[in-house]
Amino acid sequence: MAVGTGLLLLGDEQLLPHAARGCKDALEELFRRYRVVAYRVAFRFLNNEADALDAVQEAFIKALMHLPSFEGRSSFKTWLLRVVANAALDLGRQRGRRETLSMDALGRQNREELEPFILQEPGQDLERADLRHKLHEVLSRLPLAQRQTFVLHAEAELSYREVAEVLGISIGTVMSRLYYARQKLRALMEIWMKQQ
Amino acid sequence: MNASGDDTWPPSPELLAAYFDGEFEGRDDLVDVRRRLEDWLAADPGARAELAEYRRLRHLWQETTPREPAVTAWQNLLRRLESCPVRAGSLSRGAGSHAPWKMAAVLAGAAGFLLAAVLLKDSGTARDDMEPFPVASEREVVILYVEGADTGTLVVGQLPLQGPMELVDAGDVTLTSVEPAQRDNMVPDVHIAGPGRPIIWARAEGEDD
Repeated sequence: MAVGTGLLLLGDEQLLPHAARGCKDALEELFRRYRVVAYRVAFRFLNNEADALDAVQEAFIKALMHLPSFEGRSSFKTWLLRVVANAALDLGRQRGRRETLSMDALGRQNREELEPFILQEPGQDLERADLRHKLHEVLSRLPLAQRQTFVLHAEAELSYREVAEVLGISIGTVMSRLYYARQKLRALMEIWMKQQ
Repeated sequence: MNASGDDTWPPSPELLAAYFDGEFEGRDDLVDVRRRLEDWLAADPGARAELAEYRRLRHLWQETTPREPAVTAWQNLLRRLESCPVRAGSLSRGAGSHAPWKMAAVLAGAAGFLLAAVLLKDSGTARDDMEPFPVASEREVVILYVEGADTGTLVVGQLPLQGPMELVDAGDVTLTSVEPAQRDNMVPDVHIAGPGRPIIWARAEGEDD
């Protein structure tokens, strides 16, 4: 079956060899299928559109680089999301160091004046952006392993088995991490959630 | 209260969370557990309240789903991916909007891949077809910083690190002191026997928690 006619009908495993050989149509279709979930996962780690897009780009580049070694033991989606999560976390660390430096330079007083204006979005999205910002703050206080597990499950809607596959851990560990992540998120958000 | 007469009642809270997440759907092998959980929910207001909290958290999470980027942002990103020649086996210098930084990030990724390949090889789990990606030689990569605190690894060695990275055997490394060394007030004193073995990464216990 020729690629480019009926790409929508092809499964990932059929598109991947074409993408690996440089077929733009196949790459575009894979990108179309997974860009949103990849972006959302990256965004949950980074809380910033530009950085999340950078992480998605980084992840797709890495995935393409290693496509020839992809053996299909897991689905392309779970494989890609692992790369996305790692790219986002790496970017977050680098960004964290940059922000630490720039915030130090700004000084505490200026920083407090600036924070209310960060992440503003127009219209009705403003409240949602504020909520998202708070949730991100709370999420960032979770241990990395719990944060990663929770985001992959809650945002990418991966099953326990898929999360286990992505992170190379047991399903029991996924259960445990999700449970404790929820407990901590609830505790941290408790006061705020009651206002909702 | 033991609603089912089972000594292990009530089920663990992790199971309740898994039930909430739909992990029991379509699982014939878990029908009994599911029934126990549903009995528990019917009998225990505390369990129902727990479930309600999960629903609130899920609602909150969904409420804050990030907005999708503009179509043009996707188009630009796809254009960059399409113009990136990595699929031909080489790296692009202009793949991203921050090209020099991107290059460094890709190199760092490649270095990580090299390290992972070495680790897998030495731990006896490497497959024959897994070889380090030939991006840079060991002399072209200098590791300036290792994020050790949240990676579940124990890092032993002195940065910046340049040269071959190998796993060391038991007894090859002696931790002289865990106090920061006087010379840089950062890296503990470590004695490593033999040349060419400047670093060790070992999975630390309790990584999952």
